[in-house]
Amino acid sequence: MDTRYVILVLNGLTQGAIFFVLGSGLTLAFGLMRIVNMSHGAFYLLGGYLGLATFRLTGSWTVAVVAAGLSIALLGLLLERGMLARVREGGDLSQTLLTIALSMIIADVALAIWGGHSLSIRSPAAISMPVTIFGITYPGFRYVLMAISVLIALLLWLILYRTRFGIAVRASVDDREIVSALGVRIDTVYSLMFMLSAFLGGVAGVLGGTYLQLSPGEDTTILTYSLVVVIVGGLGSLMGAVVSSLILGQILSFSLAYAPQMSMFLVFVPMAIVLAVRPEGLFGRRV
Amino acid sequence: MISHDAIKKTFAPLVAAGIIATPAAAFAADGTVTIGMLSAFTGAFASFGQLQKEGAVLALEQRDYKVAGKTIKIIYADDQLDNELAVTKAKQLVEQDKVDVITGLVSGDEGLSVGAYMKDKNIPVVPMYSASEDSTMREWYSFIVRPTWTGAQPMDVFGYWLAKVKGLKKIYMIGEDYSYPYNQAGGFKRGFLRGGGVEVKTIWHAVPTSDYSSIIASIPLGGKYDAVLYNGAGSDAVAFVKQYVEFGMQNRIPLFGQSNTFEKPDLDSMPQEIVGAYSAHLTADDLNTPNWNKFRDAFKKRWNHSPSAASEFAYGSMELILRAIEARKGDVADKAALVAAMRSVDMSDEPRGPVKLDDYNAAIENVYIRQVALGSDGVMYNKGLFTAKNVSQFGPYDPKVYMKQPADGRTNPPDLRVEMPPEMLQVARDYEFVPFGK
Repeated sequence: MDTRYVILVLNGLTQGAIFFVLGSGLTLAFGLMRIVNMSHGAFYLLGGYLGLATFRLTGSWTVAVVAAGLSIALLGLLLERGMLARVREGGDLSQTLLTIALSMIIADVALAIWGGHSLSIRSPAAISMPVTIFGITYPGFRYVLMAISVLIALLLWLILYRTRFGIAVRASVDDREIVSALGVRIDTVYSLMFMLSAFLGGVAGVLGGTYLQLSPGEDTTILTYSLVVVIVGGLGSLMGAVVSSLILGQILSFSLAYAPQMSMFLVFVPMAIVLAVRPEGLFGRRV
Repeated sequence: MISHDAIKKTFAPLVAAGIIATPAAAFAADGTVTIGMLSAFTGAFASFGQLQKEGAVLALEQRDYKVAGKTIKIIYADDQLDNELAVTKAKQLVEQDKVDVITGLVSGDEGLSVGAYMKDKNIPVVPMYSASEDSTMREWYSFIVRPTWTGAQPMDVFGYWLAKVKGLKKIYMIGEDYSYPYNQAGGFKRGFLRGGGVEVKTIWHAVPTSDYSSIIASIPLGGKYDAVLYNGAGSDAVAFVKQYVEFGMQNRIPLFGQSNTFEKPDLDSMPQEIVGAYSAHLTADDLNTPNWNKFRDAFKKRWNHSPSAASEFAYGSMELILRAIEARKGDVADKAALVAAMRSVDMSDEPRGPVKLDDYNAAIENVYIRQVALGSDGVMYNKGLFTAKNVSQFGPYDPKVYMKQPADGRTNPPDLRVEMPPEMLQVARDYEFVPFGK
């Protein structure tokens, strides 16, 4: 077999990895809170910039990842408590509109601070060396990226299926009134979930800022991809996010190799098919 | 449809009450000349938009916003690189702000859309960085004055140089899928195939693309092509070059760029493995002429960083506008006379090198072949190698022959020398290259 196909598959896995880290947070928050967080892309971009700033300050990539994740989680908490919770009575639309407004504000603030130029985070030398496995040489950092996303998937699974918080989340997805009546503080569950989602957005920003680049506009590009992940996978489904980001990654990788002009179009084809045939997504449940 | 008169009647009481000012009267009376600067200050081209603004502001500040006793009022309009929004904003500048000149325009498509809208408005349009050649060719009208460039202009020289002087035969070009890269590709193909090249294989990718690894993995190796040319700029270029180096491709096949690929400050975000990469533009970072040094020092003092081509073009374009207003002694009521004044402004002291305008109000100027080099301070820059002088937007071609060809596009001109129209492979006199700085 031509080694080129292996590289294309690996490229697809790398892209799938970043889509998963971003899309899983978005889909879980959606499943629970019934709002699409349109500022998720802005979280990604801001997380990346904060990671870059931390990296410049400390020189440690790991610290940058953690710091960006935590700061965006904190930002998420403040926004959820301070703003989203206040318009909850207004319904899904007002909340979604609010997140759109927030995304614009964050993007403009980032433009004012970091400017319009393209910036990127240097990947740590120890893990950025090309690695040769079975005669195929591939940048080591990309393997790390895949490993991180597998780790995140496992942790998310543990959180959802092995903790009290996870039980509350899954129960609330099915029927939040009953869960509320059972004495679970639903507002706390919401806040925690939104923080977790924001944390993943921030972490994805540093990962993306390291293997791709950070610049204005990247927030909307990446948001588009994560929305495709959410819609194809099924709203609120962790398994759906895994499968759909894998599919999306491979489509992007192979279309860029064989029909680069069509890549954007081809990404939306599965979304259109899923919406037509199975509107709830591959792993979603009818709501 | 509501007629103009109906609107006027509806708003007449408001106008009378002074709530809505009639701008034409308001501005003309107090000795103000209004310039609208329409550009992409946010969005994917925010970087170029910002660099452009810095150049324009420097020119204005050096004259304290005053020319021939008139105060220059500048209105910034941000189109976010959206062509429809650009037209809306242009409409606003024309109808509401009653601007005397429109300038700015950073991208190719933006320039074409605004140019089309402005066609019957009788207001001078001075595109700064927007480089689609048709603005000053097939879609040109006398109110467009572009003292800067077309996409093909430096690239025709670059292609010719690579084929004729460096002896390259086959290039693999990967480009962003829109009008400005088409024009850069067009110029490159004409120059390269005319200079003796055999093939320029062109691949287009959607904009934006973040991960280029699969495109890079598909580049044919093993001597099938002499070099790869990345025909993209800004964040796309940073990501592409970064990944090219990550895959160790620079050791297997050399990488060249279009005019903007290695422009600063994007170059600062690229890995140093690309030192040695060639490109061609109308500026070089180590230009060492009195005019350039004066401009560079003033620019650095004002903005704390070195100017790039986008800043220099904006500075020169704004100078052209201001000098024309000066020549008209501040009288901008007659727009055709203002354009005529722009045509006769002396731009021999332009920082990047002397500039003259051709019959289509497009620049005739120096093109520089450059190479990415590492400075003694450890920072990369574009070092000038050779200069081709007095290059027009038509390159070495007869304008009539050139304009007969279809506009540059995805598949125009063809990739292969054998498919190129014979009249585009033959010219009376081609470029001469002099060492940079001579």
